[in-house]
Amino acid sequence: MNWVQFPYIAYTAIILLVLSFSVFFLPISKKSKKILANIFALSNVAIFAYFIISLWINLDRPPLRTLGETRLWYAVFLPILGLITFNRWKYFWFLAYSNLMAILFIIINLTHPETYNKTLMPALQSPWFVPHVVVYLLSYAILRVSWLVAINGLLKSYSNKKGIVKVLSILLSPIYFLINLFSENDEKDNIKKILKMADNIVFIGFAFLTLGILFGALWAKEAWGSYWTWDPKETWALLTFLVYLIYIHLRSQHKNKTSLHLWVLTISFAFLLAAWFGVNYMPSAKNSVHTYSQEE
Amino acid sequence: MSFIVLYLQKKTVTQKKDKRRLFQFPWQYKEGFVISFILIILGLGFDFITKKPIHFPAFPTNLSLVITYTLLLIAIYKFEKNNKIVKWISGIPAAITATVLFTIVSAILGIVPQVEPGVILKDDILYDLGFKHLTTSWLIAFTYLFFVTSLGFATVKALIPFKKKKFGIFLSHLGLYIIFIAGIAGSSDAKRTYFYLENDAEPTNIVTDFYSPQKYETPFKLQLNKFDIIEYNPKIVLVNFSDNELITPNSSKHFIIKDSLSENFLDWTIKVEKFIKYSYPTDTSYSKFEETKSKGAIPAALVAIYDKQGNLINQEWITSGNFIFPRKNIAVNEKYYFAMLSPEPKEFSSDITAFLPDGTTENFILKVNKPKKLMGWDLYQTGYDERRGKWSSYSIIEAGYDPWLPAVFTGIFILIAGTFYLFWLGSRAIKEDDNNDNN
Repeated sequence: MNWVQFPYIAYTAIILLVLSFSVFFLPISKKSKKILANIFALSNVAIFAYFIISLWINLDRPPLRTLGETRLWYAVFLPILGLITFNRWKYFWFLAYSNLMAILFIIINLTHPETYNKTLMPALQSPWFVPHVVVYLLSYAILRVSWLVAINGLLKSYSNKKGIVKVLSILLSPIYFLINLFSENDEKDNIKKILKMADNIVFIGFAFLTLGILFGALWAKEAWGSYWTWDPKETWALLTFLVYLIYIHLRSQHKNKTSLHLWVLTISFAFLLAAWFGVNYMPSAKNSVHTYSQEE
Repeated sequence: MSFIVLYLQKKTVTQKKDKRRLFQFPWQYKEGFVISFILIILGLGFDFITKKPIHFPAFPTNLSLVITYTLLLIAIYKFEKNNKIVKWISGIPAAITATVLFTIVSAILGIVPQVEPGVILKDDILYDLGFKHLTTSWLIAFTYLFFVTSLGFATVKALIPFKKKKFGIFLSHLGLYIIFIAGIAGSSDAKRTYFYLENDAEPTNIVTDFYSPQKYETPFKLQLNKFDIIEYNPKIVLVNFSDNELITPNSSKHFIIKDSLSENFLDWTIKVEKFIKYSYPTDTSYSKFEETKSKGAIPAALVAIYDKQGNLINQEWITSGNFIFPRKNIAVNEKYYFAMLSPEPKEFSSDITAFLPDGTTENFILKVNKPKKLMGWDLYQTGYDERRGKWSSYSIIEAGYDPWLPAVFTGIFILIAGTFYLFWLGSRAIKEDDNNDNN
């Protein structure tokens, strides 16, 4: 299979993903909802994984080079992540969010057809390439969720205030709406519960981020002769690592300063965005080995 | 606005509650931020006065410094655990303020473009303050000092007294500590140099520093037997005459040449009738190509263009050209033409013979991502004459020497282990920890 067949896969996937969280509104038992949601989401994962593998074979290289190719992986990982979190902690909204994000990535790929490029430059032909990128993609996806949780918490804790917060909450109301639409009542109004949820997510995301940086260092040593060169992308990955480190340390001590924690978590995401694509626009990015482009 | 006022009101209330003066024990965040601020001022001041990069002392001073420093940390914690400053520096507020300082300083590094090592700028305020050579500035030296000290004490604290529950925390802190210590101390012993090996030249042991004209001698000599590139087949693209913009083909594919392959672009079909990967033209008008293995060979393809009705529009040989032969395209009409792009490298490699001091020789092939260890040096295939590509007459081999590498890698693997441990525990790892230290 290649990009020519992508639309068929994409439309099927979108239908499955929508079905997977729509069962929440069905008048059936919780258990049936859970089973149906799992079946639909797993079917999507299966057909998308099949597409990626056959694309990989077709290209003779892992499809991880262009932005369009990385979006394919998101479409697999986000629903998996949503499923794990949903099955483990019963966050239905998380499954809805993950699926909607996956759908968004699929739609971007549909509207921006990928140029089909078989070549992969020699430095990227390394056994470290796939784990390095995959672990990073996962950590970005997970940490973005922690940001949503933080935003949700912030809106809740300021929901009775006026002025700037009111404006902010209107701007962010879709997120608020999404999380609360798919939430059971008992987890809606408790900031501490929300932060506990955020902690679980941040720990997983942070572990992946750390692994991503370390795998990158090991690979860099193999390919470029130096494990750390202060390449702008490396520097921003380190910065992201540091801000989440601050959050984790804050959480370990002051359990009651919830609003501070929510703010730190919200701001941390800005660093993540900078590391993800913001770095390409910075003056320091001139000589980065990490500036990717969609075409050569 | 009301939000800020509200925030300030809240702040005054909390300040009234906190009657403790600055630097009165027990220290908290305020002290950490004041210390950070002092370190920033000191760092900027030193950089501005000296106006040049600094380096960590080289071997053996660095080794003894690192050992002394680490032993000192352990000894101080062991015997002065209840000292109020030791309590503070090994606790969360110091960790957080040190990390905030490190974040701020690294952010400068992430935004301001850095000069190549060895370059010194005159009358440049950003350079004088250390911002353009941040990794060799006093500012980062002081930052590291605070960060590593806090990290070191936290590591010891997680170990003494030993608790199984704290083991993951200990591992991750220890891994990070080793990475930082070995990375900083080792930076002055590491050499990044390169061999410039020409075809058929005498064996050489001279390497040049990457960042300065300085030359070193390696204990072994290298000779290049053959440099080679395995190339992908070239791509064919449709191009606009007016602005030389590429037109994406209908099926959203990049068209890589294979024998007898056809592809639709806009209203035309291009068909490859014959493809020779390495060839010489037999005449100057490029009317025929013959296969060859000789130097300077180019890829060539006989292509035909058809319109929608299947009528032949044009048929010609095209080639990407190279440093000897000019490129040749095929016109579709006055608006568009098809061109062959230069082939992209899939793999490049050097066949090398090493002459060791004991009189023996060793043959090996260096490729990208396939380095070779030789007498403590790491050899990497790095570059070649890109203008000549496959027919480059020389190969550039990076030769790195970093005796601290095993230490850094130990730190990396310990941190990976610690990360897995924490991942397994999840947020339970921090639940009951550190609650009673401060406050």
